[in-house]
Amino acid sequence: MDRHKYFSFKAVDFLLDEDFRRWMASGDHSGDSILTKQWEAWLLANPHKREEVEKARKLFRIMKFRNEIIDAGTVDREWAKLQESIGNFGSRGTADTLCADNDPGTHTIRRFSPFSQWRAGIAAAVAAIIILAGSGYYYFKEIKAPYEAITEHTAPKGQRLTLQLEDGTRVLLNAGSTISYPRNFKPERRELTLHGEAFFEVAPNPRSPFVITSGDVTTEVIGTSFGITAYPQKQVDVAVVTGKVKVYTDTEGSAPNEVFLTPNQMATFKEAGKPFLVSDFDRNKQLAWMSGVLYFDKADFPQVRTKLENWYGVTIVVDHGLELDDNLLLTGKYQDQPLEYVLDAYRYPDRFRYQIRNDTVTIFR
Amino acid sequence: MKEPEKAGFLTAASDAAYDALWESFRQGDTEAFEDMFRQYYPVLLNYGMRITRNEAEAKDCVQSLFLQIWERRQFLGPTTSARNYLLASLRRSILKKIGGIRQVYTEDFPDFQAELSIETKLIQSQVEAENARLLKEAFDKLPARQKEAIFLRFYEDQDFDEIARIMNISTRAVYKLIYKGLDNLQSQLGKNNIDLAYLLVLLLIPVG
Repeated sequence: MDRHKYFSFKAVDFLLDEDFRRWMASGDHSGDSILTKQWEAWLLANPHKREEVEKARKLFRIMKFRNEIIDAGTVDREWAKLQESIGNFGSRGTADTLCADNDPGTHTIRRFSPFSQWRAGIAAAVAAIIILAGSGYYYFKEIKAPYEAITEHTAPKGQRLTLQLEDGTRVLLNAGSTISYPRNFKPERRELTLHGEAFFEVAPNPRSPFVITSGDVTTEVIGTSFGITAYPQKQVDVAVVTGKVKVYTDTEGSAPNEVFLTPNQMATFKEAGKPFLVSDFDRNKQLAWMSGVLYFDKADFPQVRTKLENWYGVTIVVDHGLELDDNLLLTGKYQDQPLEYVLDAYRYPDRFRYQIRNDTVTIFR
Repeated sequence: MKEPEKAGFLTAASDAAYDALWESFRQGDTEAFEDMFRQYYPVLLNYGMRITRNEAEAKDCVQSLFLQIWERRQFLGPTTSARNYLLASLRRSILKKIGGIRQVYTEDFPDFQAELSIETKLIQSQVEAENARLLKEAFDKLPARQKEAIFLRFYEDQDFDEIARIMNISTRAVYKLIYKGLDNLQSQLGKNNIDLAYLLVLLLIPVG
């Protein structure tokens, strides 16, 4: 690093500086790395710069961009397509018909409008959905169409993930949850599969209903906004925030089961063949996870376990010696609390003991 | 812009500064061509979709780009970075397709789709979520080319000269775009009485 050039630097200048960026990109900010040593030494000599450097470090962390994930399947398919085009060289003009860089005359029609206008159009009517679907053996069973490329997003454990789909629908995925959908939605039906918990703001399109499958339960957006919640195993809850939705099951051998929900109503699905249970719901509870609140309402052990594993990014192991009652219920609301705090509340007064080692929590007698 | 194929000096392929993969491809090596395709396809499509937002169109343009360079491989010059050559060419062809090259520098320049993704694990409260939203909104409101330059700098980690080549403007203009963009961000947030630095402190210092 050139030590003299920094005297007049502000945070933004550091942020754009090649040496600074190399330091940040190195990822190793422990005292052991040479870059860190150099910078720390420089900062000791120039303490008045520390504040600007700290700001720049924070800016560096925040200046990240949402990525469009392009999966290997797409690359394979596009490569095959290119090979085919090259094979067809004999029939002239293949290149021109695609993206007419060298023949603008044939492509004077503007095929699309700028995004800003388009988005203004949908902002007026946005549908919000919350879904929490169970851990499922059924996962992916609906999406096996052979040549349909599937896009899949999973929020890492301990983190939530915001996505925008090609139709403008926005999705907030809770930690450890996954959504998958065809790389290109069908024109007549936008289909999506959820495993876990998510909040959707669906871009309305009357010609193409938005349909979410979570286990046995299918949710279809009709009006403007709604929410869905489904717990582990087979239970699925659908909670409508605003607007109107249709929720139905269509399992073999069972009578069709269908309800329409309006705002503040929730449908609960327990098992195939039983009708949906419709009730009111508390928005602060259903949406708690979105504002970083871990909420339990008479949650049994399997539910607590799944939530804690996803929320804190740990694996919970139950020792053989411990016979844990599945109906050991937890009720509580935790914001910014360490895992130990929640576990201590759950085990109170002395239902089990636990040990946390790295990412594994062992629960024992 | 100094385009490689117009450089007019089809010099030794062994020059270390030149992109080796590109050199093999120029000599008709189909495997190098495939490697190049597979290596840069995601970057190219990602960038293309930020300019057009129409995925099918972006895909067509990437297809067409590779088809053209394959057809014209004997006429292409060396380049120090195949990746940047491809990014620049793709940008040009998409803009041309969108509205004709003459519109590139007018207000018709299409929006550039780059959305800040703020690590949600850093957001601990409603206030912080609101601040994160304001920052994202402020970024969304930046002029397209400021967004594009900032994106290339931060996301693609290109240096100022490389950005200049990709965007077909001077290095000085790139500096201007980026600094203006960050200034704009600050003043947008200032309207909400939020200091960028203060906002970042709120957002990023872990609570507790």
